[in-house]
Amino acid sequence: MEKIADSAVVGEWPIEQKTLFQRIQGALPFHFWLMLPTIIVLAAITIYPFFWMIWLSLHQTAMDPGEKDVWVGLGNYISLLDDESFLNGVKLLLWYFVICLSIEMVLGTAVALLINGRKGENLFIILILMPMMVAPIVVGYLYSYLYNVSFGWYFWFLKSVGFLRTDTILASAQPVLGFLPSIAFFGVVVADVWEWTPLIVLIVIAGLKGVPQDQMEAARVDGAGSFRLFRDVTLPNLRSVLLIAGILRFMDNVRYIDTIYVLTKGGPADSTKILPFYLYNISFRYFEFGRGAAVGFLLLLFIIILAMFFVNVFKKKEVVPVG
Amino acid sequence: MFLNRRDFLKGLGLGGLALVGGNIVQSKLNLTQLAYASEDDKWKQFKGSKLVFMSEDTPPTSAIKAKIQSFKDLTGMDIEIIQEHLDIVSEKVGIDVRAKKGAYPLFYSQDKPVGAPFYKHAEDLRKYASDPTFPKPTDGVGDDVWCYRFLDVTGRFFGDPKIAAYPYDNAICVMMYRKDLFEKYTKQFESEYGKPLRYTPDTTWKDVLDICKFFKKANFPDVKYGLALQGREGWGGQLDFQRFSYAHGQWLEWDFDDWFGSEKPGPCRWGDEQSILSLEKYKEVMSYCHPDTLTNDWSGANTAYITGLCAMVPNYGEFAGVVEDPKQSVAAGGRTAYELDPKGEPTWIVNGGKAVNATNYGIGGIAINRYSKPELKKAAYLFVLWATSYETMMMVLKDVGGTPDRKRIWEDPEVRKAFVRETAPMKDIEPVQMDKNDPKSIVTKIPLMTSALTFGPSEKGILPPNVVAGPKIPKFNEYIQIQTSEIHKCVAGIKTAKQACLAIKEKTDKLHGVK
Repeated sequence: MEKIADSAVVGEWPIEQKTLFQRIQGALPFHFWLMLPTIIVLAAITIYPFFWMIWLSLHQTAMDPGEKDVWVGLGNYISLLDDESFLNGVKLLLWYFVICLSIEMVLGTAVALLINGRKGENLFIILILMPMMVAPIVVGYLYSYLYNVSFGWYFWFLKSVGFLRTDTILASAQPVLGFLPSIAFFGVVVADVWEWTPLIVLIVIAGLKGVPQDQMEAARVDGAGSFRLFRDVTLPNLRSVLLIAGILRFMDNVRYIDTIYVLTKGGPADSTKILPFYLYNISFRYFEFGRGAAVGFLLLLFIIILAMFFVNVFKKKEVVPVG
Repeated sequence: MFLNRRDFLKGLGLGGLALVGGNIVQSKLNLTQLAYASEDDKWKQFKGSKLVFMSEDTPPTSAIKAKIQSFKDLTGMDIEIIQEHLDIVSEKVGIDVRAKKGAYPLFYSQDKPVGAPFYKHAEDLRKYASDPTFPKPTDGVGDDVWCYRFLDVTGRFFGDPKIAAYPYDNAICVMMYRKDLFEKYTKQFESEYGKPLRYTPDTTWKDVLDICKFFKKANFPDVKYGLALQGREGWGGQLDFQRFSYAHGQWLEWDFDDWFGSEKPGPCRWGDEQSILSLEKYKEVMSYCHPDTLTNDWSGANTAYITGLCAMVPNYGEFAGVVEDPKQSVAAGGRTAYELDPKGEPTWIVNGGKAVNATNYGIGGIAINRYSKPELKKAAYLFVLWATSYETMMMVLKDVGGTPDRKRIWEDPEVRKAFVRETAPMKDIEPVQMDKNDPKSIVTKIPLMTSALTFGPSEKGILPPNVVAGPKIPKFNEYIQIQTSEIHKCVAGIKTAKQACLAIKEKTDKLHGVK
């Protein structure tokens, strides 16, 4: 018998030599090939800008014609360590997302529980979702009118009931109680909560539809009251939904500057200049793209680390059976 | 088919036109300059071009946009005028010039926030001005045709002889005050302060402080505060404090020529005795002002004034249009008077300088983007000539109460009559009753050129020793953030005046690499 290939055993059918492409094709699943065009586009619009941002952050960028960007290594990052505005921005950002997220999650969940399964639920949902449909910059203008000392309803109401001790909301820079952010800051928070709590409501309501009714019935039969039902049946079943809602809202919240841009421009006295707003100033008002890229990269790291933290907090602890 | 002689000749003519026209019409990015025989032809030499003008959202631009058809008819060109907030103009122009795209062949070049950082990316207009293929506008474009040094302010930077922009509009700050309220409460004021309640060119900032204290304490039903200031972070706040600081000893941040500015300004004067005292006094005045002062820019301060909350507001001439509109403003109907900004208080000057009526402004220019295609840049120059011409500026003044930059308009007898309400040409409006309890308070006419009511004090304010034009520095936008942020901290009681001034000095010197 002729020898057909080195690997062929005499008396057996020969093994075909596959090309490199055929080997790759066989190694990767078919659905990968279907997703490949999308992956290429996503890579182009995310991975390339990401590395470009890192590259920029290692340079002092030039604006004048004929000048070139200068390599500074980690210089932009190091300079942030004693940048008062940067440090203030980080502090305010932490306050901003903790306060906004806490209020929105609690309020959103409460509203969702209130309207879930009630008569007119669909109508309530439509009404509640309306603020979310408004562009953030429009929300900024709306609240600038509501807070206006001359004619703002919110200002008038808060002053009338004695809740507001200062003569202004948006120009109030002193820390509340000496350590909390300023009243102007809380003014921005209220605008954010008004606009984005409906998102939490929407997500939680969807999650509530998935709570197993047999568990609810069993608990009721066992004599569980409303609070026990919520704590021991509803909440555990909502964990993953709350995680998604929290992460979605967190990722948006730490990037938004629209409302601040209109309401306060980061003032008064930098009391509303959260880190993303400072980033916007550095990049698009001062045109220091290198510094801006460094701040942007650090902000991205911050978001990733905190998102991972959220995931860990909400991760279900798996029970390992004994024996 | 029978073709008669007439049809044949018609067809021949049409075919010939198509042939010639096809040679003449080029792509919009590569137009051939047509042969010209007259000034009219010079205007039409870029017929078919499409321009884009990135402008701040100002009344002159709105008026020009409304009348743009006349430019299109004159030149055969099309133009898209984009109006944005000044910050957005700066942002978009900055991104465009950094990328060297030339997407905006024309851009609004406000002297300090846009001109100072980006003037190197603008064309030198001198080469077009000396080109005989371009039409010559009425009066020309030399230094002597513009108001005092406006061309220096908006067109020349850092000792560079290049002219980066022609003056296009201006915003000159004057004091607007409710003379009706002053007349109404003068007796009460005099009984407390020993002087009548008046506002004149000799009114000092200390007098203003007394007026603010008076109104705030009195809490009258028709006015709550004496003054609305514009302390908002950014350019508004910087200009606001500058009117105060320059009034006292003509204090300037740096020791360089304020008309042309400096690329390397060196150490600043913040932290000296005068700056600290001025900031202390500014804080004191602010404490009696409209409470939204730290968040008010020119629009916010204007709102406080036209809603009747304040008796006075230093604001820019273009706002006279709103102030004089009885549908929007309780200060209309002849209730408002216009005067120079307050003078410095001599007892608050420690640097040996003069007390002046510090007047600052923003002179908006119109510049050509050097990265646009060559033919498009030339076409853009025609728009620059048209938009800054005597005829267009006069049209804008009459239409919306614009702010002309040509001397000849300010010297025009008809315009000069409009400086004073009693002689100003008026236009009819739908009757508006200003006071619902007073049937005689019906307003049926308003001045035709409302902003001209501010020209009387403005023409004094823009001359030495009152005028303060700078500081023109490349890092102007970052500097004003530093300055206003620290001033806010002082006004809010978070820092003392000395701490704030020293912080400004430290940060500003670091910004400019001063050790």
